[in-house]
Amino acid sequence: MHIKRFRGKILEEALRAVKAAFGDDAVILSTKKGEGFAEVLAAVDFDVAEIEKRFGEDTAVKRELDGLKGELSEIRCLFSSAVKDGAVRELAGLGPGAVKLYEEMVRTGVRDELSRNLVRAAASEKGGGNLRDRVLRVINEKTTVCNPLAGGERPRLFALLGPTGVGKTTTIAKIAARLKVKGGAKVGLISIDTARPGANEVLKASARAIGVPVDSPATKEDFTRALWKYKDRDVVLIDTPGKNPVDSKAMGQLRHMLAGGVPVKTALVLSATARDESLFNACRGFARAMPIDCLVFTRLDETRQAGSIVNTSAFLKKPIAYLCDGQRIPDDIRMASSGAIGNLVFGRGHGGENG
Amino acid sequence: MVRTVDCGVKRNPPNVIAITSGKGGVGKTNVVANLAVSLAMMDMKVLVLDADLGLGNLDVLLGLTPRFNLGHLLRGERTLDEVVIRGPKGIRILPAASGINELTSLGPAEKLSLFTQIEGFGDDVDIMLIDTAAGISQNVLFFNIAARETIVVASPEPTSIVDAYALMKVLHLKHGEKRFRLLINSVRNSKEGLEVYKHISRVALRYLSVSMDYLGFIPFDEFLPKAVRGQMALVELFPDSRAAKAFRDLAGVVRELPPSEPKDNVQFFLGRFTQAG
Repeated sequence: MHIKRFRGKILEEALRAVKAAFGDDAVILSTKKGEGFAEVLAAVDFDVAEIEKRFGEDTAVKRELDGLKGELSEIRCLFSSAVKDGAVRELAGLGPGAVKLYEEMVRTGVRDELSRNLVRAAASEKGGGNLRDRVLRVINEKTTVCNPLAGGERPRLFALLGPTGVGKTTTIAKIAARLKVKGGAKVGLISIDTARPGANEVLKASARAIGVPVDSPATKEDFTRALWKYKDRDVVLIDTPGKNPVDSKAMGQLRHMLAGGVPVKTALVLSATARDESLFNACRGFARAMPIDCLVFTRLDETRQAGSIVNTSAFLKKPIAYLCDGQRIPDDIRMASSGAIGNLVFGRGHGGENG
Repeated sequence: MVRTVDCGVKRNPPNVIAITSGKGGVGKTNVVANLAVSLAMMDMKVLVLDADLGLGNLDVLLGLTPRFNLGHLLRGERTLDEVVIRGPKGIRILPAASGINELTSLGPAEKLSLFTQIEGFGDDVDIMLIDTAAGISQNVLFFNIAARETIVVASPEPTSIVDAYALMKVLHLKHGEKRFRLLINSVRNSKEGLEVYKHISRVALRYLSVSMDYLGFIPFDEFLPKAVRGQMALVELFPDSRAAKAFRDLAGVVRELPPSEPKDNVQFFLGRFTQAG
């Protein structure tokens, strides 16, 4: 409808004006009379075509609006983040979508400062593509991956260390099964988790199922003998007892067992469900006890906060070797791949290539 | 094992109310937020769907930071449980997608997905409010017809009155909607609210065969901008303000709305999709 106020000296004059403008169909909403003045509020209907015009159904206008809405949504993001953090303003200047990407990363658990740095680095990156593509590339550059079993002398020794209950034994079984089934490699297992009664029973059972030998030396001498026994194997995987990273005595025992002459590659196994603070603590504790070569993340299936992976890798500055996401041996393990981590951060599922 | 006991008493499906305005800037989202919180204060289980697909900001208004949104749900990337967030007084909010192009209409698959997902709430919802976008886009019309009730929010400004009328006309002529409830926002006093209602209803009566009920008014309140800046619902932050009282009265009326006649089309919580499957 159209709605309009009509004025005249007398009521009739105002009503004539209504009729002249709106025709006989007009609806009088209200009238007001005074000394030498009259006012009529009148309305008239309009048809649907006119309504659509009013709401801008025109496609050119639509496109224009679309652009505007994008900007507005950007401003909205900026506003909601700015409440928490003034530094976000700076991101807005880096180009369209910068704030949104930052927010997305923070929501996946990437630390605030790291998210900002990644977006900043992406903005100044020279490569093509939109900002999201560039952020993904920067993540791929910063979060490196590796294959700890590639190259080097045989047998390749690979020890898995980590806090209690992160899934070291299951991961060893997965790696062993995968090597045997897929590559036909000769694999030997060693468990130095002998202090706790029954601790290595799980590994023994898995080894039987996979069909690989397992040894559980109790002393350093036994350990050396076990390594000797496996001298013709392609790969020897070493399971270690879960240790509290802040317990320096426990760390010392681990170092004593693994140190000395033999070139053992080490992976720190961490649960992707843990909080950043405890992940960083584990990194500090284990890296102080012995050199860590790479990282393995488990329990990816139990969290959406894959940002902790990027945070930890940036913290320890070590490449990621494997990503594990379930209980099934050997299916639920992937070699970390360039690209997989970025996809994790941007919520495209548990990326990775079979390895 | 879940045992269902059919004791012959069937619970009424939750009422579903679209809150719409035609024109933007009349305070619709504020009405939705405060009505939702007021209903929750009356121990009702409230679900709010922020259907302003391109630019919903119910979450910002309430100081919430959702991780996922309607877009994730519609694309099947996240489940309803993951997307829905809790707001003040335990209201559940299905946040709008800022990534969706609001001007692209939802497709049949997306609509179906939305219906079936919402259906999943079943007995856990007493009332569902839908905050639609401004304008008369296909999506706005869809959400209005998929609801059982439509509350049209208008302010005393002539442009708002005209747009509210236009929206009702399109809904009536193109989709056969016959019943609207009118809420007048930001009025100086009850007289002004009633006057605006009379103007719109007189024109509607003359040109359209629709029924238009006066749901009431919300007075202009200087505490409202303060609550918006505080990113809290007015009814929570300033429960003694004039507008907060009006929102509580409104909630009382909305709670007691009688169950309305089902419409001919598919609607939320009427189970037609799931029964057909």
